[in-house]
Amino acid sequence: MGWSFLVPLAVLATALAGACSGGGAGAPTPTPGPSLAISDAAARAVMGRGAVYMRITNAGTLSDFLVGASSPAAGTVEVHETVMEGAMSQMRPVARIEVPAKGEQVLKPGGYHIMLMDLKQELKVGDVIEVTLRFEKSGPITVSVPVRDFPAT
Amino acid sequence: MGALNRTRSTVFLFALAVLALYLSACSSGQADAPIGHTGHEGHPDVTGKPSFVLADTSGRAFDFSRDTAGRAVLLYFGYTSCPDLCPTEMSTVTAALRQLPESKRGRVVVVFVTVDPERDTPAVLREWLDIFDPGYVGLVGSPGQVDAAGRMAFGSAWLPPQRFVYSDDPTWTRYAVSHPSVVLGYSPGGQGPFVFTHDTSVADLARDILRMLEKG
Repeated sequence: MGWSFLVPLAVLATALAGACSGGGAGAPTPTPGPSLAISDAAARAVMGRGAVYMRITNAGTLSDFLVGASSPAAGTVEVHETVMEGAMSQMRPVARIEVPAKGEQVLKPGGYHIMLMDLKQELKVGDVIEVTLRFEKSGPITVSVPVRDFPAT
Repeated sequence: MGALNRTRSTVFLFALAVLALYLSACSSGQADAPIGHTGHEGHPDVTGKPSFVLADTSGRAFDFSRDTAGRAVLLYFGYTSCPDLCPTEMSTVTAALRQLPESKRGRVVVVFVTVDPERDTPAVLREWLDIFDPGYVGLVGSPGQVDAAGRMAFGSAWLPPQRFVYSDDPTWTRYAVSHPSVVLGYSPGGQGPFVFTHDTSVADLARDILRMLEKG
């Protein structure tokens, strides 16, 4: 109880420190770099292979690049792009996908997807798999991805 | 003077008629809206149902134009190892058909032609299609036969399916095959093709299937 006077002091110090860092030239200066978050992740799988779709947002001041992915659910995981040419479409692996600064990159049917091959077991609607994304600058991000039915209506 | 008045009233009546025509066209705009997607870069430049014969998954010869006569058709060229567009589009088709009343659904046939006959044996193709609907027709043929069928369906928008090998892993033949990104639709009387792009919604496709059926 002898230390209880320290509590309001600590609160005051914290408030002052907050005011300081928030003051000066206006907005606080964030550390330059990407700041990534994943949302709307969903996997679809048919007969031993599947695709993972998601939205990657970057609140940071520098762009980043998705360079690979892995999952304990699949033997092989690759980042792919569906390329359209006239009436035809072709799937190709991509080395990196840009997530622009203050922007986003959406992985969706007909565009980019993360392909799961050699699934360890058949995925059912309602299952949740872990997918770890690797980026050029940011550290790896592991996402829990629910297996959804086709299509997402 | 009398003649001029007559001319004026004729012009007036003519203008009224044009206005009435214009308004009636406007009000029926929804019904006259094109079925499916138009102006697609790879829009087929041929009309009518293609005429080709390929083996179905039970080995029976399937004569596309004859065996689909009197029914609306959704025709797709794809392959079962395709994880992105093919399952997305087949599931959109499946969900759209499930929205239709039973009496209408029975008048629609779905035909899937594989562009990857090496991996898509009749058994593999059957197993894959059964995930969506056991009633879907799966067709297999040599690369030359499939190429001819595709050319008939798409005209000059068709490009021969190309293999893209994306792994040199010798234990597994990993390759992608190019294929059309759209589903083609035909009315029971063979009008079409109507083009449904991969991002067509289930509701839009269901509505347009009904409109294809109405076209006769």
